[in-house]
Amino acid sequence: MNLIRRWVDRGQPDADARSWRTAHHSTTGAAHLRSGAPCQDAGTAEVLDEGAWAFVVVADGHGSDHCFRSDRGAAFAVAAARQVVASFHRELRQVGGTPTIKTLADLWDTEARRLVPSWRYLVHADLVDNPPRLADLDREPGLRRFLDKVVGEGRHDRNYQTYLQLHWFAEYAGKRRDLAPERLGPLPLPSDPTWDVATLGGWQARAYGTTLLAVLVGPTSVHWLRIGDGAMLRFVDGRAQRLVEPPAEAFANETPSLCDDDADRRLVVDTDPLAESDLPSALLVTTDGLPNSYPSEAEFLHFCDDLVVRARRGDDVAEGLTRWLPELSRRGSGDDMTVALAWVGGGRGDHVAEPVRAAPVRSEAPAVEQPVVEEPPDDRPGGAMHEVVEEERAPGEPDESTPGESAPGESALGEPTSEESSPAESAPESEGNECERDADSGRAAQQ
Amino acid sequence: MTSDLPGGAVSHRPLRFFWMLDVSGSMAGEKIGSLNHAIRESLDPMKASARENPHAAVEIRAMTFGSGFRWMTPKPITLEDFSWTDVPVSGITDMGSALKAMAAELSVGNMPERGLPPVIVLVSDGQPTDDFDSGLRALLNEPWGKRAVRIAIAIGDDADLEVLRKFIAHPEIEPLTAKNPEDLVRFIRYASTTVLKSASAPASRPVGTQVIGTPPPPPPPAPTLANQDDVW
Repeated sequence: MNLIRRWVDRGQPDADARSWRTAHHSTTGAAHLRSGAPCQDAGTAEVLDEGAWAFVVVADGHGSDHCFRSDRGAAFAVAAARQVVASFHRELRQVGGTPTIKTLADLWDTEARRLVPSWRYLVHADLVDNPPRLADLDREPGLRRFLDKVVGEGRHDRNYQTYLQLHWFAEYAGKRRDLAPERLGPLPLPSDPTWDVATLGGWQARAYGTTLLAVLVGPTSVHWLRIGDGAMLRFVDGRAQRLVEPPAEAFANETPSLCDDDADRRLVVDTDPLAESDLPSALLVTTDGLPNSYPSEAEFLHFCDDLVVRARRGDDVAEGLTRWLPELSRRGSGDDMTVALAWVGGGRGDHVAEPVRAAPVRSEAPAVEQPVVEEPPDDRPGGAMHEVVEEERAPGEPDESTPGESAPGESALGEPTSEESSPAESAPESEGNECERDADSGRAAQQ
Repeated sequence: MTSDLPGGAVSHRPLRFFWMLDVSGSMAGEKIGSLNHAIRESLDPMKASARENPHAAVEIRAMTFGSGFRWMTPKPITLEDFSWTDVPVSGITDMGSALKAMAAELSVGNMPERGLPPVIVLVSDGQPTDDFDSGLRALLNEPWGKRAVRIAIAIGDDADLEVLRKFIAHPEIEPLTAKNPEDLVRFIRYASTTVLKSASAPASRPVGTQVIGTPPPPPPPAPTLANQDDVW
């Protein structure tokens, strides 16, 4: 029995009765399916310590043509958030005794502040491994759209400069490909004296631009971090309420982003104690494609309330989300959508006591979505649904459909045993491009 | 067949499209006739363009300004239900007060909560006769006004292009100058189809990037004039 479990058993509020379950799903937006753009959302929802803790994470890669790798950026954001949770969990075990709320808050703040550099680290590693190249335009349609946009703006000087920067960046990457991850470091800011902005440009982080919302809940506290739009909700007494209001700068289609040079300043990190009187029955985070599909906040919250009621009464919401999100996108905003939900009590989730596994970042095999022309089931309106097609998996990569168990003696989070793990070693295998996929069961979308 | 979707009503995102039309006395005669004709003729192509992106629910509202301003309908009308009623000319060019009225219309309380950035198409043949600058300030001080896709069409050579550039406030979008009725038809159609389509599917982007996305470029000039006598 691990430390947190023992701590819970010593009499934290109602702890033994509170076991979290989770479900999450991402869907490619109806408008993206029409245009051929990929799903640029990512997310996960997982429990720790046999349900004593749960965390929910979503990321929404920007759709702008300048953000031509935002699907990867979103996956890296989720990976960086998982690393924050893993590190927090590991450090908590070192604290010993019953941590005070101040200890929990300070620890969360310390770990959460590592998010931005961790994300820039993953972006840097990916750029060095796979620099955008003109020769790869057919394999990278987003890069083609970006260059078409630059050409379409009719600024020949900028056009020429962009092509030169791609060329010089490929040389930069070639010189660093064999560097050990710890020597590569986070992607430098354009203002960093080590970064030759005149030669390399400043487009790199923006290419991966994404939001990130994450909530972690435990026996006596709830912790969150947020950069960008989307919704973070908690459910108390059967009613949804905003955990934190959206940032004022998030208006229309503009949002704070992990790719901002001042992302560390824009990142909101906080902790709330949980009292007996306001213990949440559920937590939900979602990208903005979902709330934008409702005429008002009240209608959006109605959906969320209903979803939680169904989860807690035992409905298979993990399966339901695979049908509901495509329908909502089609009838609503047309945008990608991701929902990550955790709830207390009964019901079937898609992540029960799943260990957070360390995984290599490189050579990720994305899951891509294909329309399926098939008769819909009786309980939803017509229209093509989507299935996941696994792209060719790199040799030696693990199969996500059969997740491994924690090894004996390994923590529930499954983090590396060394004190300092490399961010690149904790990147996702499956969060990125996991649209229409139940990551836990490996089940393709219902067809 | 019924859906088991949780919750209640779902909706596409509202997109408001505003016509802002100069009907001052100098527009009398062929200019106002051509403007009425161009907008009426653009409606079907506009509806066809909107149908290409069903996730934007397009609503139209039109304002005329001469001596003062006038909203042609008391509230926005869905594009499918919108029809054009010819507008008459009257008075001077109170563009400043018209911009203030547009600013009020675009206030956060008056706009749909989850709407897409609106489109404003300003058509004018002259120079403002009132306080243009304070009107423009009011518009650009509104969050929706600042983020609106703003297009300007000048009719003839007497239009004040500098004023229209200030209205657009975008380094890569120029006023479109219609020198004859054919130009006006092409530009009105461009605004109501190409610009509308671009505005109906805006991409999310980091704060601080160019506020307004650049719509695709306007159509090139007609190779020859149909009638040399029609030059404005």
